[in-house]
Amino acid sequence: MAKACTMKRKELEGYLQDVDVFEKPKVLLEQYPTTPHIAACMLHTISSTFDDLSGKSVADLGVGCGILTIGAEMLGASYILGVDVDEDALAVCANNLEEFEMTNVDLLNADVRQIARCEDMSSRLSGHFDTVVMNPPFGTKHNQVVVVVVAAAVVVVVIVVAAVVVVVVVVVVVVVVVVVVVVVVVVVVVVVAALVVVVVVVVVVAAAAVAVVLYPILNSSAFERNIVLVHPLFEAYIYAVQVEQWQHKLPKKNIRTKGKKSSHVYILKHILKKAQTWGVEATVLAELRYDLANSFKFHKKKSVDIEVDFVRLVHTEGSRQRLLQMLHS
Amino acid sequence: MLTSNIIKGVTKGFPLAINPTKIEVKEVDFNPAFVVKTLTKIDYPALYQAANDVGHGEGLPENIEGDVKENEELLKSLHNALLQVEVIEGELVCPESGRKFPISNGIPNMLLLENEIDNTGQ
Repeated sequence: MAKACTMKRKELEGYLQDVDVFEKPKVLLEQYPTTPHIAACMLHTISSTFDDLSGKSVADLGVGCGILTIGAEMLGASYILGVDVDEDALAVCANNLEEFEMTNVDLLNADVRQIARCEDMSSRLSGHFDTVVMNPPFGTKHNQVVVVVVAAAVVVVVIVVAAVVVVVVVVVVVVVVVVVVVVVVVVVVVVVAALVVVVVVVVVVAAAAVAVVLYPILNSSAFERNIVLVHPLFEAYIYAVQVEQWQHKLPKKNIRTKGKKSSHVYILKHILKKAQTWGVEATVLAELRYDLANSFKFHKKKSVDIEVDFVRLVHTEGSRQRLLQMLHS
Repeated sequence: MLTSNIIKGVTKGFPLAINPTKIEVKEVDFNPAFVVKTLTKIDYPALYQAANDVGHGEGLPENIEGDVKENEELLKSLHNALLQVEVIEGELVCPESGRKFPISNGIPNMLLLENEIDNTGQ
């Protein structure tokens, strides 16, 4: 694999174009494929700057369709274990591995959170891997934002429909006025208005209910997910926070304000805060930029269309022990 | 196979037994440095048992003693057991609870059912 280790990022990205992605992504699992570009940028940095792939034993948590795993193998990882909760994703991944003729990769259908929670599992796994790569579902804020937007959209749409009905009725009423007594008109208008109010109230309540009901469901595992992020199993812990792929679901004007300011900054802050609490050393390597290829001074470069935070977490002395205690106390 | 070993460590202190129904031995490049390094990370008795469970324990001693680095034959046996032998179909059995985890298409399914989660949390 000596040759592969010197592979250029562009070349790697080219290969990764051939990795099949989810046929039917599952929203609840936040299955947005890692793009070949992001995967190549991430892995190339991990490999060339930190030498954390070549000859290493790697775990890919939330392996999905396997793009990070395949890229890591190309950059010389000796062994990779890909874990995912979704067997459909693993089936796609297994196909990809076969296509790429990769034999030193094992797949495991399991819930990383369950592995993390189990004391015996986690202490036995501790130290098995040199490096972990992941682009996991981040839970918390993504879904929350989406839910709020969805609920709001429903309200808006239905209110508009109701308003149209009112206008039509009013027009009809104007014609009827000529023949019918004004009082009747008033009654009709009142009834219609009442109906509209009822509809709006029902819709708002329903939307609120949807939000209230969905919110805890979508958020139930968020905290555990974040615990898993810096689980003591691992020596070096590397992952990407990815925001741009779900942002297309939001209205355009939200991309800059809501998306950037609140969600990914929030998640990043949250992760850094957690890392601090746990005594894990966290380095924000980059908000990956397009011209990463030529230079690693990507911090100041002009952003193109990709907004990905790329964080490296490394255990410090005592942090693993502390984490184990926190996890199992 | 390496996964099996890792999973083995996953149950309550007891290695899982493997009931293979279909095994494949694949050719993987021999990397002695990786085998030596891996050996320091795994639970060797569990690997030994796993290899014997699937009928590929030949050349593996019950205990690893001395300097493995110089013993190429042993390293090759370890390499074979760790990386080349693959259980494609079968199941993993927890010796404590008897719980079976199916392996299909080479992928062990370790997902727990709702009512099992509390037990593992302890």
